[in-house]
Amino acid sequence: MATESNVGGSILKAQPVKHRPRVEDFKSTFKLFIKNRLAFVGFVIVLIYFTITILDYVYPSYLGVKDINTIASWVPQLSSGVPSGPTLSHGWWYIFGETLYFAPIFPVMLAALKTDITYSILIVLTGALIGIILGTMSGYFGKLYDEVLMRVTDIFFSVPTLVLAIAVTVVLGKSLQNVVIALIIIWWPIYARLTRGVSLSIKSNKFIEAATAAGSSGLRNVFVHILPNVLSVVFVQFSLDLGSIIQLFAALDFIGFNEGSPLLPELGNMLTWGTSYLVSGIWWPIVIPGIFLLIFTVAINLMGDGLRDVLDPKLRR
Amino acid sequence: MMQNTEGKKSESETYLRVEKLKTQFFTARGIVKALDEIDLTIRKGEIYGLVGESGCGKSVTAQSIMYLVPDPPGRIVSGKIYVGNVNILTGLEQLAKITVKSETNVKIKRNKRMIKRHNYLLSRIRGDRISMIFQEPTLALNPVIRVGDQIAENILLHLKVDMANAILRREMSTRKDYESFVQKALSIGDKDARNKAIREWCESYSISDAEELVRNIFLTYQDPETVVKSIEFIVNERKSGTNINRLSRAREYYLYQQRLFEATLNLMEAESGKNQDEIDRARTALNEIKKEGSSFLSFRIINKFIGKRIEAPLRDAAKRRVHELLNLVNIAEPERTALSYPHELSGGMQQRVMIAMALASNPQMLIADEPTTALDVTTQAQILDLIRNLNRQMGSSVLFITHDLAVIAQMCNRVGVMYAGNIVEEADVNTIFDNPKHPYTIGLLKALPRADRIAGKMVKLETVAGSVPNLITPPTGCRFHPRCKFKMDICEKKKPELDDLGDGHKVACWLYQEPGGSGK
Amino acid sequence: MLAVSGTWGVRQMTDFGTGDGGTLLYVSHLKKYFEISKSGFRVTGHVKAVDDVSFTLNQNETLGVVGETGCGKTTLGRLVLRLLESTDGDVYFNAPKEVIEKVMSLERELDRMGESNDGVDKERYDSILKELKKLSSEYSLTKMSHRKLKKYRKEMQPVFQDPFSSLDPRQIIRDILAEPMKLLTDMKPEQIREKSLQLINEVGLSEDHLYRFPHEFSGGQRQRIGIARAISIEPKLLVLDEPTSALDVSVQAQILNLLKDLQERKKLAFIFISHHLNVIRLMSDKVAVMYLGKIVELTDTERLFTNMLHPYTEALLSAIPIPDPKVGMSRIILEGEVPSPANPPKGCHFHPRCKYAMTNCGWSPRDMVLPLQEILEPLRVKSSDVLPTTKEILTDESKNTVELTFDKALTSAQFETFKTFISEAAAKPNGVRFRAIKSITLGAGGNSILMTMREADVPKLKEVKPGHFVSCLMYEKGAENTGIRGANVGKAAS
Repeated sequence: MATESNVGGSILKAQPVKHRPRVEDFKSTFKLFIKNRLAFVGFVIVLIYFTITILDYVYPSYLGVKDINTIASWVPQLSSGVPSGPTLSHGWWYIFGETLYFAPIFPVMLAALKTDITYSILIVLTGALIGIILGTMSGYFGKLYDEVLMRVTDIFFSVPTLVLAIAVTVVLGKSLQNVVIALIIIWWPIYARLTRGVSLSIKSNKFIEAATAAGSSGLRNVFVHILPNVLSVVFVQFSLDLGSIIQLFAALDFIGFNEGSPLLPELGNMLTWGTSYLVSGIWWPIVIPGIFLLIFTVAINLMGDGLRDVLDPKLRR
Repeated sequence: MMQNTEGKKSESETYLRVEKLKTQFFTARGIVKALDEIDLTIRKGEIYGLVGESGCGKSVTAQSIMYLVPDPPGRIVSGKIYVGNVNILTGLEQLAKITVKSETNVKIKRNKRMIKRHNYLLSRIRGDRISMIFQEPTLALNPVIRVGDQIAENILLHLKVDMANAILRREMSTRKDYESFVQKALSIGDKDARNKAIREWCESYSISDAEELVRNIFLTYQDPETVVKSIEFIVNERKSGTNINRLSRAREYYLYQQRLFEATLNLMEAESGKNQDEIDRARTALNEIKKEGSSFLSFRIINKFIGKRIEAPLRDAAKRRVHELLNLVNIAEPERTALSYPHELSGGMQQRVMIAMALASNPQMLIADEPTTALDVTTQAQILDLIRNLNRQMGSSVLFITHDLAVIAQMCNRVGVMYAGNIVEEADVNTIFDNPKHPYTIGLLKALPRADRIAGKMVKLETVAGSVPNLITPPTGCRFHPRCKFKMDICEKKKPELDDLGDGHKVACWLYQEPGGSGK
Repeated sequence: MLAVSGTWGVRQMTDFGTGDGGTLLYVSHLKKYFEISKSGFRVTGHVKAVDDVSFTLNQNETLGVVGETGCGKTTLGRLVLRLLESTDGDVYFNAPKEVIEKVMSLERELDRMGESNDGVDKERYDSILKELKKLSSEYSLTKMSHRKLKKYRKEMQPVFQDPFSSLDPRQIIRDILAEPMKLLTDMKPEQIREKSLQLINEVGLSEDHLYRFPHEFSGGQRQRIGIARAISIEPKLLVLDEPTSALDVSVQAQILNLLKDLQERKKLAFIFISHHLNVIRLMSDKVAVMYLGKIVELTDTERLFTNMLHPYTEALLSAIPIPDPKVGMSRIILEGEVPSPANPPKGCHFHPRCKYAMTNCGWSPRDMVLPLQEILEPLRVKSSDVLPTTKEILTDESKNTVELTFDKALTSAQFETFKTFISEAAAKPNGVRFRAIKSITLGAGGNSILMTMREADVPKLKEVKPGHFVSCLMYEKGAENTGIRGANVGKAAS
């Protein structure tokens, strides 16, 4: 629709030829995306969170401690009976107050983002990879393969996610790695289902038939023609899932499945630390990390919705 | 105001008049100038064909006339559409304020109160005066409601007063009524005229299912006494013993609603003019009618609770009318079809049901938007035949939209050729095909492969080079000039008006008019 | 030279090898039955999408395939290209001339054996079957391994109807054009790039367009790209499935001209599938008319349009709107709609809608229910004692019977009245179906009437006139209606 300038296609254009169609396409998509204000705000927030994570990896010493992977690095520096509340009088690090062992909440939370975002990306990426491959093949080849895969996913869907995650972790043993494994195991069927549906609808397109007539084999059709078309849909789901996985991960840690790493700066852990203070009216150790978690989930959902609008083929045409 | 009086003068022959209609779509990529101030008149009883390629604005024209342009992104920007003598775009400027900052940055500020009132106006005009048949009946029919009920719903929506009147008349009729009717009918010597009188009488007594019986009675018996007796028997058999008081109260309420509608319409018309006196008069009139509403309070409460029961006799009548309608559109088993769901019917049958639904409220005008494009040739032939016969029988106007010139040739009295949001040529059907003037029309006709002519393997079609332009950045001047063989300098600069060459053959092309003489 | 073959039956006129280049494609008894299954497991029936279709196609020739929705024309195209596995039948494409001749002569011999009433030489019969099987497993596309098939894929390509779904939205045009060349030829990337450029110019687009995505093009331009892809590997046969149905008139003319141009220059053969008869007339040398999976008429284009023989073709042609208001419509409006292919009418599939239908055309019990009701309904309303009230109309398709049950036993007088009703109905001009009733008997107990229908004859595609193949019982020896039909042929043509 965008370039209908030539008449019958018979006029050669005089402009210098610079062929970067994929870059151009990405540019125009991005332009359309940032037009949606809310999605753009979400995108910026997510970008900030990701920058912090990357910073934690490449330049961890900005947090002022040698080892950012344990809360013990920050303690003890101040001590006054109970953790002090949000204040600016002790410098920026104490803007959100203190938590367990009088560690400052702000830098600990920045360190925690690294753990959470890394793990949730790992989980979603692995789950998506397994799910996409199985789902796409299932949609394309159909028949018995499809039937078996769908019944397996049915089993996964018949049990609530959190319950299943708890069950798997209990079986594997309570540790951080096992929480990750459990979440991957419960997450791939979502992608398998999604990609199966999408690849079924793509399969009915005539370009698949054209490729077959051009001598393309079934497996080649899957990887060359169906996968790239599936990915745009998966991408949206992927971004939305980051939010829910990070919550689920924190939730599992919060209810005590992280044996062996109780001092790890991690949002779920931070909430756990806060609970012991809640009775005495000290709200900040639990509310502040909660808010940050909330902001991330909302931002990522806004961004995901924006992406869905942009990647919708109807809008793009 | 000038145009208002003009509208009333030509009302006797024109039914629909579109003036300077401009519809645009405000998209993220820019403003699509879908309709560029088109003029269109459709006379009573004629089939007007609108033909053009995809993206030329024929469907947008239909949507605009029904005020069904999807909003957002589309809006009618300006223009007038007279249906009968009512301008359905009355107060268009008050509905929404459109500020265009740039092609991609447009602010539309909608006035909710005005839109609500406008929708109220439209709900009475759509269906009542204009109905529409869509290209995809599958999408236009509700998949979870039986088709009979869908049609009945349409009937109830528009014909409540008439039906209530007829039922009350039937219930309260006495021997005297039959006697006077029989006397009148027997005095008519002409058979057709008498049959027509019989049909009207039956309809006005809500016993149209007995029409054939009554006709037979008149044929078999000559003695008025026996005829009256037989008719009395027939009517009594059909009396249902409804609660007459309640029904007549309901009728009063329906009448009140109708009056309310008319008063609102008057007010809107007055407001579109600038005459303050008229506005005040219309407003007081409306307020007076609104006051009456308080007396219906108790009825409305009752209606809330037992509305179904109050409407039951109307529903019965509607059901009978559904069967008649399905019969009218040549459906073999109306009773069974009425009870089926849309997906159980084939494409052709669905289209027939759509047509029946459009006819439910006796509209004076039918818009058929590509009604046969989704159908096979043999089914298309059936449906075209049906539409033509209905047009002849009921005398309603038809706006027939299609991309198929062959269908136009077989169906229409007058034809308008559209290109890129403009009507470029308009004439009666023979002129268009024998003596086309506009280069686009000529090209289109020559590009048509024809099944009735020998075409050897070596025969090539003549083509119109290029394709329909993008309407976000339409060509300047005449929008056809980039594809035109006879392009002149002026074509790029100035848009030609639709000019009458005589005998109602109108062409918008600089080949046939002087640049100075335009704009008359 | 027209070279066509029918079903097992008549294949006298097989004058092959005289066209320019000879027979390119021989489709023999091709069938595709789709399974209908309920609840995913049990097969409850078949949709005969393509049922015993045979034809031949010479080089540089166009066969138009025409028919309404659901007649199987698209399936036929996919089967020929083996984009769909066939249930039965063979497709000989680009096979040596001797092989095709051999297959045809063997099939002809089989036909003769089937027709002759004398005892069949069992040994000879089996040996022919065996030989045919050997040939088909060697040369038929439908039985070939995918590896071997690749060699043939190079010679035939599809062009699809919907220009929007036939190009991968995630690939740029350069990659779309290159795909067949990359997979089916040994061309080097350099050569492919050069060829793509040449192709895109050939179909009237420019180099600039190679580096764009499909969504940036209009429908007509996409169709050009689809054609460019199809001709990229210099095939001999293009299967064009409604290539212009989604396009506007002015663009359609451009595409049709382009196709004609290409055919002339590259000596292509086309199978041109369309429901637009006007396009078919413009494009094809010969035309096959399909109805519910079968070819009902097959002949060269001019003859079909001026001298059609099958009643369905006649109705189809008369239904085409002519773009001239002065040509009055003398339409034959067909009653009803195309029946469901899952449950097609017996005998000749077209008989319920045919105005020339005869008693042996396949009238079966289910055709009788409505007309019987029409006769009985007025009697019931009158509530006279002409007949007792009808309870049920039971049909038994396998026994070919209709059973009427009444609430009371019939007297012999009443039975006679019923018989007269039937014979009255049969005497009416449109009462063929009643004439097809073989016997009427009073059922046991006296409160039912049993009607048996006559057995149906199945029409076969036969060469009625030289080079004119029709599948209609009117042209069989001793048919009831030949005269009526013959008189109409000339009229419909003018």
